[in-house]
Amino acid sequence: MSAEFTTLDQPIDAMYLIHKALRREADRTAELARCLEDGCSLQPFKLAFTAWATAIMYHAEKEVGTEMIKSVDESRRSAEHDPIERVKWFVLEKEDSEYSRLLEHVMDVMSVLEDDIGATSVISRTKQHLYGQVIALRVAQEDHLEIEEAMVLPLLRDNLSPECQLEVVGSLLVDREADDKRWVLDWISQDLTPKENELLLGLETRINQAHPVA
Amino acid sequence: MTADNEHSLEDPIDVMPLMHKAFRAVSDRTEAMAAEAKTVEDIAKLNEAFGFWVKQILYHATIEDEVLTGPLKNDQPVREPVKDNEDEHAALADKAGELAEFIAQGNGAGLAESVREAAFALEDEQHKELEDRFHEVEAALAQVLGEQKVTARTIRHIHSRVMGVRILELDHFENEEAFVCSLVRDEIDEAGQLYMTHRLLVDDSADDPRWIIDWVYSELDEADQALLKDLEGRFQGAVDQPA
Repeated sequence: MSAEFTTLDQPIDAMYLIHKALRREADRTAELARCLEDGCSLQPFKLAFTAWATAIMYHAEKEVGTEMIKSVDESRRSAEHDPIERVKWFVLEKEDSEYSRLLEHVMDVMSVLEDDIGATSVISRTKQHLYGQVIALRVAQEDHLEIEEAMVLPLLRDNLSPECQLEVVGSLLVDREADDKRWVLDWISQDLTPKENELLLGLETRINQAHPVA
Repeated sequence: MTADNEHSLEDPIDVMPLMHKAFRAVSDRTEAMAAEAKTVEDIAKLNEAFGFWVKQILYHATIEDEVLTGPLKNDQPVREPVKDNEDEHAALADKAGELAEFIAQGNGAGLAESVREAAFALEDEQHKELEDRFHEVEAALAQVLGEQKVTARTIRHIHSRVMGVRILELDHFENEEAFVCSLVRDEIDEAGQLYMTHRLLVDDSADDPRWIIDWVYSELDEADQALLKDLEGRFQGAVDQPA
C-alpha cells in the first residue's frame, strides 16, 4: 500500500493520484495474469487489461500537445548545450517509446488470445508469455512514471501558473469528448482513499469553475 | 511420465520430467523472491538463488548436448527437434548469463541500463563524447530519484528478466519432453539411456558428485523420490556391470 496523499499543493500534483491509479491497475492485471490456470476463463484478465490499456492510452494521448509537453520541450531544448542534461532527457524519451511499444505488444498478445482461445493446449504456455509481457509493461510503466515524477512534475510546478496547471490536469481528468465525461475521475476514484477522493472532488470543482463542462 | 509400476520408470529417459519439475520449483522460488524483493540485501539473496539456478541450468544443458542430443545426430542430417533443442540451450544460457551479470552489478544496475539504452539513441559522435561520462548521468538521475527508487528500479528489472529466463526455460522443457525425449525413447536402448541419466544426475568430476541428484531429490515429493531412487539403483547397477 503506497502512502496517502493528504494535500494537493498545486493542481499538477493531481498527477500523483493518476499515477497511483495506473499503478494499482497494473498490479491488479499482473496478479490476474499470474493466477491464470489452465482452462480457466480469461475474461477477468481481459477486462482488467482493457481498463489498464484504456487508461494508459487516454493519459498518453491527452498529454500530447498540452502546455505540459510544451514546457517539457522548452526545458529539453534549453538543456541541449549540456551533454549530461541531454542524456537525462533522452532517458525520459526512450522510456516513453518503450512504454508505447510494450503496450502495442500486449495488445497483439490479446488479439492472439481472441483468435486462439479455443486451443486449450496452448493456454499453459500462452499464460506464461502473457504474464511475462504484463510484467514487462508494468516495469516500463513504473520507469516512465518514476522519471516523470522526478524530472517533469517539478518542472511543471515551477514553470506553469496554477491556471495553466488546472487546464492541464482538467484535460487529463475530464474527457470532454466522451458521453460519460467523468469516466476518468470515476476510474481513479476507485483506487484512492476517502481523503484523496476529497482532494480529487475539490479539484474537480475548481476545474469545472475554470472550464465549465457543456 | 510413464511408470511400469508404482516405483519404477518404464524408460530411464522418463526421469527428465522429474528433473524439469525440480527446475520449475527453483525457478518459481526465484521468481517469487524477485517479485517480493525490496532492498539491497534482497538483491544479494537473489544473486545467490539465481547463481544456483544458473549453475544447474548450465550443467544440465551442457551434458544434454553431449550425451542426449549428441547420440541422436549419428551420421544423418541433424533433425529439427535436435537442432532446436541445442539452439534453445544456447539461448537459455545466454539469457541466464546476461541476467547473472545484471544482478552482479548490484544496486544501480537498472539505472545504468536505462542510461546506456538512452545513450544509444544519440548520434555516434555524441555517444562517444559521453561514453566516459555515463556515470555522471547516472549520478544526476540517482540524485533526483533517490536511493530507494534506484534500488526499486533494479529489482523490477531483475524480476522482468527472471520472468524472461523462466519463460524460455518452460518453453524449452515443454519442447524437449514433447519432441526430444520421444526420439530418445525410440532410438536409444536402455543401457544408453541409463548412461545419459547417470551423467545428467551425477557429476563424477565434482568434489561432491551428488550435487545434482541430491538437489533433484530435495525438490520432489515422496512418490517421485521413489522413482528417482529406483532409477539411481538401475544406473548404478549398470555402471557396476563389466562392459
